[in-house]
Amino acid sequence: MTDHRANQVNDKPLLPVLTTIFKHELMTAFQNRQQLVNPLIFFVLVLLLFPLGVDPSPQFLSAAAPGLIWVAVLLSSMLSLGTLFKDDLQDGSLEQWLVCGQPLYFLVLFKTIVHWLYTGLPIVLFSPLLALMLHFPMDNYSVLVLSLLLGSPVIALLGGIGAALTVSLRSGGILVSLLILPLTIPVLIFGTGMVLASIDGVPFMGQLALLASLFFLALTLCPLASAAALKMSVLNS
Amino acid sequence: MKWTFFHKLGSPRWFYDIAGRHYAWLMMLSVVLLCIGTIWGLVFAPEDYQQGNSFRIIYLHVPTAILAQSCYMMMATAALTGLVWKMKIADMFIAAAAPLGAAFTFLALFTGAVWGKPTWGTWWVWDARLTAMLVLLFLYLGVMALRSAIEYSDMREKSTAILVLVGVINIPIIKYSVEWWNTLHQPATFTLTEKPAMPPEMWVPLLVMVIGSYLFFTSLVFQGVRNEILQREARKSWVKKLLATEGSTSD
Amino acid sequence: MSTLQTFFEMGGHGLYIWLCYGVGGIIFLLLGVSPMLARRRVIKQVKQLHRRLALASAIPSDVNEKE
Repeated sequence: MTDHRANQVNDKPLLPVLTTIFKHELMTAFQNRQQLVNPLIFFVLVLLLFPLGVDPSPQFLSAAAPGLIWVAVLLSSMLSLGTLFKDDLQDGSLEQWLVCGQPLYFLVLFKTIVHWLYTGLPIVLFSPLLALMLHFPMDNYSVLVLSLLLGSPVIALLGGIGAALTVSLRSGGILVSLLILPLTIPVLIFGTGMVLASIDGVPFMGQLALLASLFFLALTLCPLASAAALKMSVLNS
Repeated sequence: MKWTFFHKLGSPRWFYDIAGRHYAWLMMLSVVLLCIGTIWGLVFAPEDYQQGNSFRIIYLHVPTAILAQSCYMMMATAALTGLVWKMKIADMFIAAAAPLGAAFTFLALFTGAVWGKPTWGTWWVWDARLTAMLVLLFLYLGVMALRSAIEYSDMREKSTAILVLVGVINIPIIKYSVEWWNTLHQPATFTLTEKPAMPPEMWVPLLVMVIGSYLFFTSLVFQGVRNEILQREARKSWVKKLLATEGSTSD
Repeated sequence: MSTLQTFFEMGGHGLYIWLCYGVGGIIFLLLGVSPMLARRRVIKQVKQLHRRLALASAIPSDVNEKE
C-alpha cells in the first residue's frame, strides 16, 4: 500500500506530494473520529475545573478567562501533538517522505499545518463558547479568537519539534510537554497580553505584531528542527 | 596547520590526557579563589547602604546566575559543533554540563528567592530575572529528561543537540517576553543586583567569585567529560591499556 | 565574642545569608565530589566489561560469535 503510494509520488513536483499527504491525513483523521474529538473534550474539561476548583464568581472568572483559555489551549494542544509523527513512523510514511525527493522541510511544515487544521482550529473555534461560560467580556471575542488563531499554530509548530524528537521513543507523552512547554511561554505571554490589553481598552497592536512575528518565526524555523529530528529518527531506527 | 588543534579536540583520547593534566590545579585554584571571595565578601566588603548585609548574597547569586547562563551557551556551542563536524566529544560536553547547569540555575534561583525575603518581604516574587531563570531550569531539565529517555546512540547525540539549539534560539525570546510581561504586571521596584555604581571594595570580591566559579565549572566539566570518555570508549584498546596499568597503581 | 556574634547576625539578615551560603556550600561540595565518585563507578564498570571481554575471547572462536 505504502510502496504503491511512493511510486505514485516519486519524481513529481511538490504539489501532488502535498495533496497526497493532505488526503492521507484527513482520511486517517476522520477514520478515527473519537481521536478528533478528544482534544476538544479535554479542553472543555480543563476549563470546567477552574470554576469548580477555584471560584465560580463572575468577577474572578472574567478576570482570569484569557489566561485560563490560553492555558487550556496549550495543554490540550500538547496532548494531541505528542503523537504527531508516530503513525507516520509506524506505517512507513516517514521513510517515503525521505525518499520521495521532496524537501522534508515542506512536508513536515505541511503535515503540522494540516494537523493543526483538525486539532487546533476546532479548539480555537470552540473557545468563544467557553469564553461565554467564563463571563469573558463580550466585546473582545474577536481579539481572543485572533490571538488564538495566531498563537495556536506556533504551539503546534513547537510541539512538532518535541514530537519529532521523541517519535521513536516509547515514553513520548509527558516528555513532549516537558520539552516544549517552556518554549511556549513567549506565545502565552503575548497572547494573553494582547487579550488583556484589549479588555483594558489599551491598544494591542504591539502584542499583535509580536505574536505575528513569533508566528512567522515559528513557521520558518520550527520545521527545520523537526525535519532534522525526523530524518535522524528514521535513519537510526 | 592551525586546524590540527581542532581535529585533536575531536579525539577523545587526546582530550582525556589534556583534561587529566589540568583538572586538578583548576580545581585547587578555584577552591582558593572561592574561599577568598567568600570571606572577602562576607567579612571585609562594606555593607550596602540600601539593603544592608543581605546584599552579601550577591557574591553567591551573581556567579551562579552568570554560570547558569553561560553553561547553556557552552552547551549550544557544543551542540552546533557536534552537528556540523560530527564530533563525538561535543555530546560528552553536553552530558557533563547539563546537570551542572541545572545545579547552578537552581542555586541562583534559591539565592535569589532567599534574597527576596529581606528585600521584597516574600520568599518568591515573580520578578523578570527570577522567572526567566526558572524557565532556564526547565530547559536544563528538559535536556536531561530527553537524554535519559533515549539509550546511548548516535540518535541521542543528535536529539540532544537539536533540542539544545532550539532552546538557545528561544532563550532571548523568552527573556524578552518575560521582561515585557513583568513590566505589565508590576511596576519595576528595584531589581536585586542592579546597582548604580559599585565601589571596588564591593565588586572586586564579586569578580574573584565569578572567576573562581568559572574555574570550578571548567574543572568539573573536564572531569565529567573524562568519565564519559572512559564509558564510551571502554572497548578501545587504549582504555584497556590505561586501566590495566592504572589498576595496579591506584584504583 | 560579641563581635563574632554581630558578624553572624549580619544586622538581622544572618538567617538569609547563612541559609544561602549553607545551601550554596553544600551544592558546591556535592558537585565537587560527584565526578570523583562517578569516576570510581565508571572505572569499576569498565574493568568489569574488560574482564568479561577477556573471558569471552578465551572461549574458542567457533563458539564465540562476537568478535
